[in-house]
Amino acid sequence: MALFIVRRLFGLIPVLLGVLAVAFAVTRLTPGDPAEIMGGLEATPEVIAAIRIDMGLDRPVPVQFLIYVGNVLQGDLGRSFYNGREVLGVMLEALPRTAWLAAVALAFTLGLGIPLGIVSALRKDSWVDFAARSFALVGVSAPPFFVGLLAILLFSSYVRWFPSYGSGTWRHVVLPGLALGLSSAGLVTRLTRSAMLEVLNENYIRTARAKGLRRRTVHYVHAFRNAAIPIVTITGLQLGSLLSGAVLTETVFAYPGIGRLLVRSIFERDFPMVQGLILLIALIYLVANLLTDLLYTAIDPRIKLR
Amino acid sequence: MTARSPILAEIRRSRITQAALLLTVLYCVVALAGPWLAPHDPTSMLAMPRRPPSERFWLGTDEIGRDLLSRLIHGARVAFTVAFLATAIGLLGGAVLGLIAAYFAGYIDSAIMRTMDILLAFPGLLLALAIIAILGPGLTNAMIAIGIGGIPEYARLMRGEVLSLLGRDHVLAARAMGASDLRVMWRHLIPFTVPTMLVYSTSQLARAVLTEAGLSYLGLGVEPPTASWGGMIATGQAHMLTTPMLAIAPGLAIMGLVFALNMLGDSLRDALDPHQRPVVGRQ
Repeated sequence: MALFIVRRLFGLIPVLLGVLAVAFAVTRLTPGDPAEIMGGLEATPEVIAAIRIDMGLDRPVPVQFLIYVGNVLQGDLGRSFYNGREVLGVMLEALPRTAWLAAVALAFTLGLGIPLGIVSALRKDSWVDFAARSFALVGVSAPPFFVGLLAILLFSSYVRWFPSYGSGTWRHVVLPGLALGLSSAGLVTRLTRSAMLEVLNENYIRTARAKGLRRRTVHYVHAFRNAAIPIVTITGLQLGSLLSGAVLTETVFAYPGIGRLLVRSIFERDFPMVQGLILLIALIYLVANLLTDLLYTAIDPRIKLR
Repeated sequence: MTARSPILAEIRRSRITQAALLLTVLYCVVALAGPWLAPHDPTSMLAMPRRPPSERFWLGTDEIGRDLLSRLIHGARVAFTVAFLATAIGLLGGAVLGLIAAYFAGYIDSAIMRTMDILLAFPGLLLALAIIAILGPGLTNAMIAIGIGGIPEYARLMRGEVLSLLGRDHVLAARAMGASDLRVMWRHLIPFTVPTMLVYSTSQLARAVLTEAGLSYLGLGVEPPTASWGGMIATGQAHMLTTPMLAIAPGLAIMGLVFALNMLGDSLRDALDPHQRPVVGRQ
């Protein structure tokens, strides 16, 4: 296991270098001189020249990239063009809010998706199955920002259970979490149903039933545990969707997480911040994929880590 | 596509596939015939803002007095244009790269596929946002951004398909007879990958519609006054309490199209390969 983790971490290095190159390209490929953008409209040519030297823009591009990688490794992601604050500090302020939102969304995803998928498979072709499949299809097809707006209309404006914007209390995160988790819940429902139906036809399930085990034991211990592997895969991959979706959902609910920060930074042409956020989100996604791989073995010892 | 084609058989067999196909065709017709179908100019202010539905304005008017129905119809054109062109960029880029990677193998394969791994490290919308941060907002840039985002998955799919074909007798025979690399690729590999790539493209179309809507909602996609469903939801959001139709109508339009494309993609994938049902599980 330890060897597998070390090997996977080494395998991540070229990908991380590529991610760094993409983040680096955000400032270097953008039309216009980054020093002029940072200096602002009233900067004199001398000030711009000084900024160019300070940012290392007078050096060859490969050297600039190496300096950038060196700075990132030391935790120096630069300063925001917008307010001059350290990028890392601003990101770390917003990150826990997005993590909290993603956790609530994941709770909705699994809390709705898995039970609905199981019930749908166990009562195949009944009205429960039809309702669960309809829910799944609507969930998968609905854009998260539209679900967010409907949730605001229903739960915030009509019945006034939850606030429609901002952050600070658990109530603020319920509606964004629901909006964000719904499309993933649809996906998990469909996947759980199909995985369960496949497993329920297996010989070992027939054997378990023939042994006279309780239905609940057969369904939840024998069938679900084997159906869980694709569900874990999709849930791990869904973290990427949650991060993407957070960009939209946080905008709908004016929720101050990293998604909203990214959109605001793109509008403000705050390139160091955009660069830092791209790096952070890609890193989270890569780590999530690695953890997903590790989770397989915990669930299914038949899978050998290679 | 012959009479025994599994795709045609699936369409004949499944009512859900038929319904999804019908809905997709309906959306296509609306998108293609938009200028003739739309009762008014989608960018002209014709009446007072936020008028309720009437005989002249079937769905009412928007926040600055434009005909909502006409904007919805023109929004379909934008959604289809972006979805088709972005999917085409992803399909062509990914197919060429995947084909080269599988065919030439070795270092070329490693270089291409490691680059694809880097692109795959950016979840969905993020890569599009990074590209838009570089290129700037707008319809064309949105298409390019969404298209590039689709390249890695197409490349992986194409590489897998080509790898499975390379050992087949007809490819080996063509090579033994001295056919050039280009001829082997063009005549003996690409035609066999077309069904799989096209079927995958159907679900990619749905993803492109959703991404375009998301970008336009954020104000980073199609720019006003051009009608786009995502942009219409963004402007309608401010009037959700008084005129919910402004945001709900484009939202339902997106959902309908994505629903139809997803169902169609799932059905066609089942028809081509019953074992390859990653998400669908239509039992």
